[in-house]
Amino acid sequence: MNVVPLISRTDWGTWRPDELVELQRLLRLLTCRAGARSSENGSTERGDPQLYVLGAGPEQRCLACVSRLGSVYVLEDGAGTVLAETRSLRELAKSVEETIPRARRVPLTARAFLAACAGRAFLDEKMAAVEESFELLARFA
Amino acid sequence: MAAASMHFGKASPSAKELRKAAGAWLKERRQAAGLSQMDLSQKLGLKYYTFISQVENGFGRVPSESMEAWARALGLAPPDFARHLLSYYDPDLHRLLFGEPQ
Repeated sequence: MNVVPLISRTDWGTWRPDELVELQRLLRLLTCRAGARSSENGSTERGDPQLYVLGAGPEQRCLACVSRLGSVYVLEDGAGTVLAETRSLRELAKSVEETIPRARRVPLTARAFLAACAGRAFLDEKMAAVEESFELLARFA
Repeated sequence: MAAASMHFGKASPSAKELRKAAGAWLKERRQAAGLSQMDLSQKLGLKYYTFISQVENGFGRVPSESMEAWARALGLAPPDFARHLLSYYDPDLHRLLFGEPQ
């Protein structure tokens, strides 16, 4: 289970409490879907709040950055590509859901089919070995 | 890296610390060029200045393919700019290519 990084009280920056609730939800999404491990707050030189979502390991690469510019929320990746621009953080989270798919499980029917194929291949191999043995026996008997 | 830490008796800076140092240097260069984050973002053709802030705060990196544009926007020679950033972003490669940083 991935631990969702919490935005600490001392690190709220200039985000409003209602925004923090949505940001926490977004963090949960990014933890599950993009491997986020921690977050930090910052701001632009004009004082616009930013939340940096960081990945794992010593690098702690920036996976995503959420900024509020006036009434617009901007979501960028760590390379500066704008992923979404919305008027609400809830819409931003929706964009994340649509952009970053949940890791898919192989459907049960596909797994059963694959298992059957693997079993068949195993049996074929064994039968081929048995047939070869009988041939050898027949030749030298 | 391990040899350096044994010789000097302190840990090498982490990737995060180096990114912050790079960001601080970039901010100095931008301010020396008399540009705001918005000015720089416009020169670079970025829609928002938020990425400039991300980089200067040490969370993002100047993409390699944009280094020339950043250098020119800041009034710096691209090769020197790239080399200086490399010392922060990939100090091992920088050391390999150019020896110990000054």
